[in-house]
Amino acid sequence: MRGVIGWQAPGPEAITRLEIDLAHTGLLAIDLQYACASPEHGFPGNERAFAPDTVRHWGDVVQGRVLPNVQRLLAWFRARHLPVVHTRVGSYLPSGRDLHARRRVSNLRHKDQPPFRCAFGDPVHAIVEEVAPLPGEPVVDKNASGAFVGSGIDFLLRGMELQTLVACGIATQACVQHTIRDAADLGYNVILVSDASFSSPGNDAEHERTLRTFGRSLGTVKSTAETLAALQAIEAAVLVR
Amino acid sequence: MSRRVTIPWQREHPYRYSVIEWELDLDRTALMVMDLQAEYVRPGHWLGQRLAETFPKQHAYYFERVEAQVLPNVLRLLSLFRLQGLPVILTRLGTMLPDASDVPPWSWRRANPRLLAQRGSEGYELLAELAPREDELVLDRPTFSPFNSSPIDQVLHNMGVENLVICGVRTELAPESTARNAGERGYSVFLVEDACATFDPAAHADTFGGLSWAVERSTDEVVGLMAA
Repeated sequence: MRGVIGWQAPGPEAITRLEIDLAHTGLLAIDLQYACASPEHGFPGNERAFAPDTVRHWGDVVQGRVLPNVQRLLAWFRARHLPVVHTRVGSYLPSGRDLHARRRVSNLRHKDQPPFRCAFGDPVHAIVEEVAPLPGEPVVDKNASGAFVGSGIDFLLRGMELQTLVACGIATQACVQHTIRDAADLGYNVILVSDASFSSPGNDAEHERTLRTFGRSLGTVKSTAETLAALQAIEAAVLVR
Repeated sequence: MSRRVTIPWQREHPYRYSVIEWELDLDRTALMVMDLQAEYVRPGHWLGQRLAETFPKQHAYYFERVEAQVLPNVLRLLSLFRLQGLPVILTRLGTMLPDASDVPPWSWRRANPRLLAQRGSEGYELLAELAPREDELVLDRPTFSPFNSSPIDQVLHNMGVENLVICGVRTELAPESTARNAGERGYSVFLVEDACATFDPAAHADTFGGLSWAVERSTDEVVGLMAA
């Protein structure tokens, strides 16, 4: 189910159009957990006491734009029985001893509030119900921001014969960026969905910066509408033949 | 030997989760010089010629910066690390097989195979002025980050290296991906702003403007820290 889609804007090393195969395309939903993607829980929940307006604005974007767009992507992929893979971030151990030292210290830095903790098995570690995995959809757990840093995700994606990944989730500049940088580095074709992802609270500029950096030469950046239009065009062309 | 120091870590950060200062052992620091191969940093090869034809302004900016800033600063860093007997790694980026056929046919990397130099080609070699020594690791790999396709992690671990000073080309690709990968694996990483270069100054600015998991330092600052 191959077709050519627009890729990058002209540039010194840009690939302006790329042929992809819909039959080997999957959706990658990154860290849409209560700890990262809910204004009332986890990291944003902690931030709320210190920067209520920032977190309110961020929550509006996540709940008004990101989650509905992720739902649209999920519905599209699920209707066609195309793969959907979810990732979750968190320490494997409740103590956080499995995290590298600076990450562990960073989580503990607050004198005024409980330390930020997201460990495997904690309620906040779960993916938010609006975009919860369905049975049969793999969930890859990681204790680093990038999914390719010590998880079985590459093995899994190759086993599923995936070549092109449509990436969405939180936080653009951190877990999403690290995951898709490595995915692209390992050869995967990555479409970063601009309005189905967002940065952590107070970092709107970092969301934009990541979109720019990634779209220059590592992969392509498209809105949900543009992504679905491109994939649908391939589908329609194949059906017509 | 051990030289423990406590240094400021993040310059500024809106996060209250930032790490403000960090203790490290300077004697456990290695220098990583990335991809200073003829194909990527001398204008006379395929990449330079293509850039001259299609994006002449960026051609002029990039090769001028490489000569005026990157090479002199890299040589200063090499002298420092060699004088102190600390590990040096020189990486080379490229494919093993002709026409990048070691890259999957469906991958974006195959759409523009000439962007990766090929092992054995004249352009693949490191610049003569780097003059790698016998005890310096010359590391070949096909991905921007050596953590994705080379034994770098266990090599650094085996050598007792905890901190990395990264420089080379091209800023937002190999140096930034490596800095982020290393930071995620617990290394303390300095990315040297005036010893890196890329085609587009906006891309260079974005790397350093959004840098996390590693910190920005200038060559002077690294020399000042390590030589003190």
